[in-house]
Amino acid sequence: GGGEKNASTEQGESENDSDVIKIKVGHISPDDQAYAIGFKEYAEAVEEATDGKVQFEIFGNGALGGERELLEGVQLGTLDMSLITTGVVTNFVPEVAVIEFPFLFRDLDHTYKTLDGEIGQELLDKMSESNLKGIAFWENGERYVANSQRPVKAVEDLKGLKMRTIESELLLDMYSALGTNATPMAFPEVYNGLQQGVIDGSDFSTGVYYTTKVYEQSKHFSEVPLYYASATLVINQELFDSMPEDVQKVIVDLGKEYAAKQRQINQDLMEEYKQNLVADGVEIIPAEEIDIDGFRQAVESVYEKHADSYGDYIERIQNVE
Amino acid sequence: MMKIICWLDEHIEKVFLVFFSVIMVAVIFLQVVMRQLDHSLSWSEELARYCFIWLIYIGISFGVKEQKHVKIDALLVFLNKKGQALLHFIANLFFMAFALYVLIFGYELANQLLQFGQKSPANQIPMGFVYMATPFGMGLTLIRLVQNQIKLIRTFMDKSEVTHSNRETISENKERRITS
Amino acid sequence: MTTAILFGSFAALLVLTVPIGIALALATLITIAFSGTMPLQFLAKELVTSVDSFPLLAVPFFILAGEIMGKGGISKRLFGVASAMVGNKTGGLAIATIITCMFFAAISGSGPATVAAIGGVMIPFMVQEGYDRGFATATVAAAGSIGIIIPPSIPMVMFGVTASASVGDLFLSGIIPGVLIGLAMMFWAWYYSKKMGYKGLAEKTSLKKIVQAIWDAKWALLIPIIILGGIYGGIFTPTEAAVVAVVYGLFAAMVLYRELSFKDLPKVIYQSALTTATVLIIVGAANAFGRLLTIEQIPNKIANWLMTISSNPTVIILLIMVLLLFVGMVMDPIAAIIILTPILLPVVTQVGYDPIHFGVLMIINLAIGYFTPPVGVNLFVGSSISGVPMGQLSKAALPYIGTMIIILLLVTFLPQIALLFV
Ligand code: NA
Ligand code: NA
Repeated sequence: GGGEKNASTEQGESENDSDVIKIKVGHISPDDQAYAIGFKEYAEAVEEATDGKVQFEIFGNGALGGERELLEGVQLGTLDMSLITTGVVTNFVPEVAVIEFPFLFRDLDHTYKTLDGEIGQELLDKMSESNLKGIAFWENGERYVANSQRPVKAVEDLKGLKMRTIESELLLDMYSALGTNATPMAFPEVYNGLQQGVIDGSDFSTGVYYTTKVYEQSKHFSEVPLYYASATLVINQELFDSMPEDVQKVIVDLGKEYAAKQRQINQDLMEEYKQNLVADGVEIIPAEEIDIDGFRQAVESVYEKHADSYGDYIERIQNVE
Repeated sequence: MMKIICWLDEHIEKVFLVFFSVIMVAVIFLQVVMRQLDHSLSWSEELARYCFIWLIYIGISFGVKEQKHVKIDALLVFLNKKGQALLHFIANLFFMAFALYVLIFGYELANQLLQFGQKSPANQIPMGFVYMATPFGMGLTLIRLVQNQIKLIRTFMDKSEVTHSNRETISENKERRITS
Repeated sequence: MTTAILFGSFAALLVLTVPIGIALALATLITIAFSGTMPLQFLAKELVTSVDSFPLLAVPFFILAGEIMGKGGISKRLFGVASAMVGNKTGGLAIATIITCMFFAAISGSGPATVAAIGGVMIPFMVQEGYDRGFATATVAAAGSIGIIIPPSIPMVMFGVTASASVGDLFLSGIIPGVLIGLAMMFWAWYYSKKMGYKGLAEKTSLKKIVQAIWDAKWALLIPIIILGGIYGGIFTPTEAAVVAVVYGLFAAMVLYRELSFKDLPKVIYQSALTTATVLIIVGAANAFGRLLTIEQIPNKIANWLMTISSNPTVIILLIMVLLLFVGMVMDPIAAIIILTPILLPVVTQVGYDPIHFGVLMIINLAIGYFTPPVGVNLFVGSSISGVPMGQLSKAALPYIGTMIIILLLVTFLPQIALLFV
């Protein structure tokens, strides 16, 4: 929580104050989780690479608000920079939603190649129209299925369950295609909703599932990757444009470099969380025991309904080697 | 024409407040019913939240008209009628400064969002319309505050009339409070 | 310096009788203008985003439900049952009010909503029966704070999320402290009533009268059953439950009891919207004010200072409790939890406190803030219902603050009270 001045004092003192670029950052992650750790390391690297010319002031733990609020802040310039779960970015830049199609990617390797490649860059560039400079896609994680009723190994196991989702047509249609009764619900109500049975389950990344304690009320966790949730490293476009070119380069290059590092941090933490989850009595069903092809087939109707709105993106992503 | 203005002066906030309240109750209740029928709505919660924001900022204007805003008035007992009116006048000036700030900056924000074209996730409402709640509500509030200031200035001009109208509003307030 | 400007301008504006929400907002604005840490648009944006919350929607709905139940003869009949049972005892009406608040606490999860739902009926009735208006209002304002201690509780969810602590355990830990606080408040209500000679109702109680009251209130008594059954039966969320209460309340008031006509409806609606707005502008502005505190790193400085004072666990926890009491005086509980938990939790776990235990202490402490001046939302709601000025109301609330602090200390030093079921 609170702010952290990351600039090393030595460099800070040697710099003329007017040359220093101060970047105010807000994110929602607690200090010990992947967004926070990844961003902190990135910030230190940028400060070092610019000899302290850039200094970050980081406010984590959602101290400056939820993700939608933070992104609006970056857009309007009341905040400089953030790391935002990409689902939220799609409200600002609709095209980006294409990377959240159910079962779009073959595996994580395919995911990373797409996001770090040409298509990823095109989507990041689209954000500029909304006054947002997208730097790179970092990681939230694959969204798995948790529920309070029974172990889910095939689509049939989901039938009739009341699943919570966000207010997105795409996801509501996905859940309908999977035979569930989907209902939108605000995140703060999910824990109680599960406990009281208003909902039976939802999709979570492993990190959110463990750290927000929702697993206490939904002990069956199936590692079926409904979709991949990335996180967008984003800075206010006007601020970015006003920076010297060498600084811009450092911010972008390191942003892309640290995507890989933050993903690794996330994967390591996930392993740790999974051990804790098992110790706390959660039944984790590994991907090998799940009929993932059955899921893929079940969501085809979602592609038929929505894919056209995204031009040739779906096809291009599927063709990424 | 005069008639229309008088009607608006009396009813404008009430109409909006009832309108937004009815929508909020109706859509959330509809959602409860539809979920029982396994046809959850994707848009109800968001619509209710945005109506809520509008309701708050128009309600603030109504609060000024009805003089129901919560303040710490312990100091008032040390002042005579004229002193109280003066303090009230000063407090209103600060309130007006706030309303003016929100009118200008809130409008600017809403306008910026309209230009970016950002839409809400569920209903595809331009977010600028949601943000218009603050400048619109504070614009109304500003009008109400000016009306109050004019009344207060009249207080200074003409003593007898004021004490009379004051007594009237106080008894009216009490009546409402007891029945509510 | 910024701290001085922030709090100094806030205090000055309050003295000038600027409405509290506006004073919070202006103090935030003045500080931003002086320090230049945030652009001026910051406040304008916060005023929208800080109230854009679905859980917060429970507040207007419970306020509206309360208004409908008050006007439509529903709360009157519920209260009839309570007074038939304990109304003739010393301070019976006040005790019945507290019991009803505890019952509502098991439904609502929000302090101000509880006050709004109960106060509209209880306060006028107590006044009618000769209770002092200030005491009656303070009783509801204080007992309403139990709303966030007895589960469900939105602030507890917030703490669980922020502290990575079990929300389920937090809920269980709130039950006994919540009941204890209710009992302690009833004791004070009884003692004060005895002193003041509030004998309660003249009529003797009898089984026949109680049965008669229950029968008369059958449609009203169905409401808590529908709400509780709906929530715990998995039909709706607490916010939705508030809407169901509105709809059923309308049905009961207009169709079953016929005490509310269609013609009266708009007035009921805009009056409760007015109450909602005057409460929510304070919540919204308090959130912006809290955000600015965070940006200026004021909470961090306080935490560092705490650790320099002592390393004795008892001293540290008492200091934090005092700090939270002050914070609760001026800040919204949810904002306070979001800002302070990440700072205070490491300090208390370092000196050996259990996170769940600390969570409950924090919630009780901030619940006190609901009815402490200058920013006490329960007091505002109560004051707007009864017309009792803030100063007089705060004085009447003082003994209840004392009672709750005693229970807070008890839970601090006897963790078993909170952790029995965990
Ligand atoms: Na509660
Ligand atoms: Na308070």
